[in-house]
Amino acid sequence: MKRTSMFLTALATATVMATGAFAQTFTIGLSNGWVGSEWRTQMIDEAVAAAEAWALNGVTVNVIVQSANVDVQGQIAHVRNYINQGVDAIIINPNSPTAFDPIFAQAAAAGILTISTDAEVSSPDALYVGIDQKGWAMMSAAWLAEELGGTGRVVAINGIAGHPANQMRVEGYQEVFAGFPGIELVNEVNANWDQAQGQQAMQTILATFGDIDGVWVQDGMADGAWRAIEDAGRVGDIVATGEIRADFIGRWAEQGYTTGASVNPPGVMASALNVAVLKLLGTELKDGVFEGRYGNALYLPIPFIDQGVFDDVMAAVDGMPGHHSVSEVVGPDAARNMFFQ
Amino acid sequence: MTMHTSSTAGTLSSSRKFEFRRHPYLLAVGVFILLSIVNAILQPSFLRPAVAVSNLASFMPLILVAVGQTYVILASDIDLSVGFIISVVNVVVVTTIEALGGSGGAILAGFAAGIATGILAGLVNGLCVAVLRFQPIVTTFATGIIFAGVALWILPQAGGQVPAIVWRTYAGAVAGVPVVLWLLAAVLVFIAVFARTRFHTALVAVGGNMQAAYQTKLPVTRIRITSYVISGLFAALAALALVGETASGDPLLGGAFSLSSITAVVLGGTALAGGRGGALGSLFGAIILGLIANVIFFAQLPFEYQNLAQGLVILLALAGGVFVARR
Amino acid sequence: MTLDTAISGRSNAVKKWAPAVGVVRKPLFIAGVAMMGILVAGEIVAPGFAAPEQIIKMLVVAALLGIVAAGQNLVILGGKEGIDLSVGATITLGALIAGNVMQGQDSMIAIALIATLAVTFGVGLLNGIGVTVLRIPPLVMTLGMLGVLHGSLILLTRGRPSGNSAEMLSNLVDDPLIFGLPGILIVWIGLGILVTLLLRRTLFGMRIYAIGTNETAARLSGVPVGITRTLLFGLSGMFAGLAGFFILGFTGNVFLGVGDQYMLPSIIAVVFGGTSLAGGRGGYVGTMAGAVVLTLLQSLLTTLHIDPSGRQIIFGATLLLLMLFYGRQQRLRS
Repeated sequence: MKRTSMFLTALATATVMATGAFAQTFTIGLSNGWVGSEWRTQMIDEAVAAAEAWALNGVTVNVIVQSANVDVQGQIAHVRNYINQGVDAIIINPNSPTAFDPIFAQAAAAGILTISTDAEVSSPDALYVGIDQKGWAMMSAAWLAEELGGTGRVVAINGIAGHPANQMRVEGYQEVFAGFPGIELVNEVNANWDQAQGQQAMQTILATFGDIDGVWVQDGMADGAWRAIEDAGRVGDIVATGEIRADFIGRWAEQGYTTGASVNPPGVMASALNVAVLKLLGTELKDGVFEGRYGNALYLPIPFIDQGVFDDVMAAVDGMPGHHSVSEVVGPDAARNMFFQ
Repeated sequence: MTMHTSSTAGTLSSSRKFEFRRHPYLLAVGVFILLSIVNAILQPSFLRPAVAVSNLASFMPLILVAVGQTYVILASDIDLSVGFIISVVNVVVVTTIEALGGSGGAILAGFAAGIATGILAGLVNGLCVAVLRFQPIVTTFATGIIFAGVALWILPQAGGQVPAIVWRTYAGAVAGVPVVLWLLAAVLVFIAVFARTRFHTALVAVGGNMQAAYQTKLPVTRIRITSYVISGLFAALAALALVGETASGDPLLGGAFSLSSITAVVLGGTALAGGRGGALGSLFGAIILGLIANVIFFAQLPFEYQNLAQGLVILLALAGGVFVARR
Repeated sequence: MTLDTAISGRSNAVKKWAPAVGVVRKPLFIAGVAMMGILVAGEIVAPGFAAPEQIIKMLVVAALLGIVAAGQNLVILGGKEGIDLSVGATITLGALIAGNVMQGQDSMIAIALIATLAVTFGVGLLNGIGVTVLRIPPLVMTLGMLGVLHGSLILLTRGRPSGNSAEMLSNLVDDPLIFGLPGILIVWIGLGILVTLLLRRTLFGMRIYAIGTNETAARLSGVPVGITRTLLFGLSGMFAGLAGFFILGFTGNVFLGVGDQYMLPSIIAVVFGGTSLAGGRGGYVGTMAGAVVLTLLQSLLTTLHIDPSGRQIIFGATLLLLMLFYGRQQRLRS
């Protein structure tokens, strides 16, 4: 007995020491430039959780978080500070697609891996891990067009004019609608991703374009738009895209909206972090895996919520606070399969 | 003009007060030194030349726009459109360089077009405020919206490639001295020389008491228009610095600079009512704002607290700046 | 400079037309013309724009702006370059408190309202103390407070606002109550009457005009300048909180930044109402009209199918055009 226990102890110790020999530690800096929405906070939380989960694989991932309202310059300062601190990788949700090219070049020169998420960047020194915003829009636009049977008058309510994510989405739905000769896009309005502005815009549109059949609207503005539609008593005869927050999903079920939503999951930063750690661990990316207009994008799958999967989604958000968004994280193994050799 | 009651309950001795009146930037310099020390303690690499220069490179745009804003405020006006002038100049420069093929000549032409745009924008502001006698706050807000719209029209979304030589030069050195240091020196020289001109004296007189200045036959309207043109010019220079830093065009870049520039000016000891203060203080005010952000980062406050900490420190510093500018 | 003194220096021929010109120059008249113009233009471009139900909907949105503008109006009237840049963040704070106290229950509406008004009044008082005791100019004080409020909101909510509007409140804002007008419009009209009475008929109102016109003279005649001005800022915060309360009813839930879009429009509405930014002149009725004009303009631009850049340029240009009729400052005289 004693010999067995000694043997077992020795084996355990050896295992621990061996794992210890391979245990790695990385420091990753997260940068988020806008805190106006719960989606962003959930994004950070899920990324931090993903970092902690790496401990199960024997990798310690320390995370520094910079999440504050900053302009582009302020966010460049985030990156500069991370470089000066000597992190191993930077994961950033950038406030501009092009303004970071020089600073990312400096990061690359310092040997730091840079990955952007949620918004693509033009820098050849950075990767993008997130969804394809244009594809995101095309998915819900296609759903809308089909739901309308290919004909109808449609209005679009958009985010901030000039914002790259917005522009990509606009390109997306315009392309889709162009393919349906029966669909007429009668107006496009900007409500700046503000729920109240979305509501106001929808009210004005309903009054002045009384015979519209469908609305393409994004994110939180969809909640506002649907309130305006409810208010006008037209829930039954208007089809509009929706959004992914738990409280909207609840009202969807209650009021019987005809809606569908493509999902931009807050988990994109967590997925990006997983890709970052895999790369830091030395795993090689597959050949030809990059896509996107800048040639540096690793696109994640885009879930879609329609009546078909609705019950599963309802179950998933059951008990979650109203501001929780439907999310999905690409874990280390899935990421390995998708992008790595 | 506003009427301040005389302060008999001042806490400074009269000689110290005299010092501040002659040199309103002293407080800003003091805060700057204090913050630099704190920053150096929290971030050991702060004093390394490369790090200091890269910090200066990112402070430069705000420094430039704050200096320009100072002259408008000295004349007792205000310019809320500077941020959007930066936006429109930024896109004009980038699109011009691209349209002309990206050569050295194209770059210079782009820069020239940008500066011309800034001057034109300042002229529009000056005409509305000084000639048409519109109220400055609402007017420059309205012109700001127009400039933002024009920027969006010229470049609907961020993009445009600026030749790498632009940002490499901005981040690089000439004759062994970093380019941003040359720029800083140029700004300092300008401030010093300009402060000694008759125009500057006239400007301060207009800001101190516009009616009286008019009655002494000063060309008040022309002076006010010129101050707006200077503000537009410096906003354009700030946009050029931003192009040097970001190497791209973005129609949404710049909006935040309007309120930041006013904050920097007040931090520097210039009175919002006009007639007192100077651009040197604003220069330090802009640097202080940048250092505050750095200090908060390296103090490693939990990120939920960072915006609040920044707001509190800025409010404190603003109070100090006002105290110094007080008559 | 009143119209009378300007005209008295001119020829008699002009004097004959003075009354007519006098009416045309009145801010309310200009606002009325602007409103008509926008409604007509809107109806031509997009039939249905001037339909009664839509006008009411636009008035509801105008009411939200109008309530904020009431507080801004008071601060500006008090003179000494009075202005409140922190109203946007205060609105969000108000909505946040209201939503969290209410949590969707009708029974909690009254308590939520009291809590909201109390806290936002306190925030406004802080501004007032900074302005009167520390003698920090209002633009600077409220600008600094804006940063502090934004930071506090982020901390309080950790980016995740919570709180929901109670059913009754949402109905008050949206559904018709009397004469087909939603409750909020009744509230706004009542507020308009109250504020106007306050300004024109109470001692407090007289004091406001006194300190706005000539602070030294007011102080010498015994007006408690500091307390009055501090109260004005407190009221500005309180009105912003009230607006936040109703905005919660409008949208149903809170989100960070919900109030930011009201800050500069509240100042513009006051200017378009004929109140001088130097203080001492003007009233709330004009501001209400200004709020309506701004809201109508925004709605008109929404219906036009043009590029977003075009919308911005037209909006800014229209503001400048309207400035021709309002807010022109004194000509310098030798």
